[in-house]
Amino acid sequence: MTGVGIKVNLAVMLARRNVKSKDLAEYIGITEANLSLLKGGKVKGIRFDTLDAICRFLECQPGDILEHEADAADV
Amino acid sequence: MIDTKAPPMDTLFSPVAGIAVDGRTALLFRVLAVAATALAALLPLGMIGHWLTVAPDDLAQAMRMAPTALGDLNAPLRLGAAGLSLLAVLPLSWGLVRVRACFTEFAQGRPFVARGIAGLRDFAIGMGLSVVAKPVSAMLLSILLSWNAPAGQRQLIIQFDSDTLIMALFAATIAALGWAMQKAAAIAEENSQFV
Repeated sequence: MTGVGIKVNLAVMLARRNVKSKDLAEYIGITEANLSLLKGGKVKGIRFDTLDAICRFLECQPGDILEHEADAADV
Repeated sequence: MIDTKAPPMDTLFSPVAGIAVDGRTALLFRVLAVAATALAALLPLGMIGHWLTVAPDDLAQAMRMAPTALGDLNAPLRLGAAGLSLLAVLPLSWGLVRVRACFTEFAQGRPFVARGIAGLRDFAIGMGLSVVAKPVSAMLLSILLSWNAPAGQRQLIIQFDSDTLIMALFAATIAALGWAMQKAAAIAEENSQFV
């Protein structure tokens, strides 16, 4: 893994809230394909308004979605 | 994990996917593409036609040569002159063929794809080469046309006029635009990878 040490926990949060990807994607205003890429961490970044929409819809904090793993970047 | 070295996104949110272009603008770009191709073909043909039909007096006036310096304008000489003139025209024709790709991509709403930008860059290169070749071509033409002139009347013309200078400036401007578009494409590509 050559990531920057940021883990995306969106899939976990979706499961915890029992929310479908389709509904979240529709709420944010992005395609399901892009949401899938975000869930898989296959994006370079996330816009603040996207993060804001996710947090509002899932009633959570950014920290619940993104997690920093110090060792991952060195792997 | 966010993979910063992941390959580019699929075309769903890539600049390659294109932007909406209204019908009139798309039509304009398509017309420009056809015009560029037509001009690319017509320029060399026109040049050859000119050399095969031009009257000696008109040629002497156009080349600013003394009529007596012009030898007999026979067919081989005309063909040779046409060949030398093509030195300056062919790079421009090549540039026009290449810029067609740029207009085609624009018409399809893809202003930032590598193919279109390369077309614009090649157009600038073609024009630049034509600017460089033009004085050389004129010089060689003057030697060729006055080759059979009586002793003391042979001419060597060195030509660098304001048209050539403006064309060089235009080529440089197009090259600069191509460079700016290349940078913009890189930014658009990076921006497309933010969700």
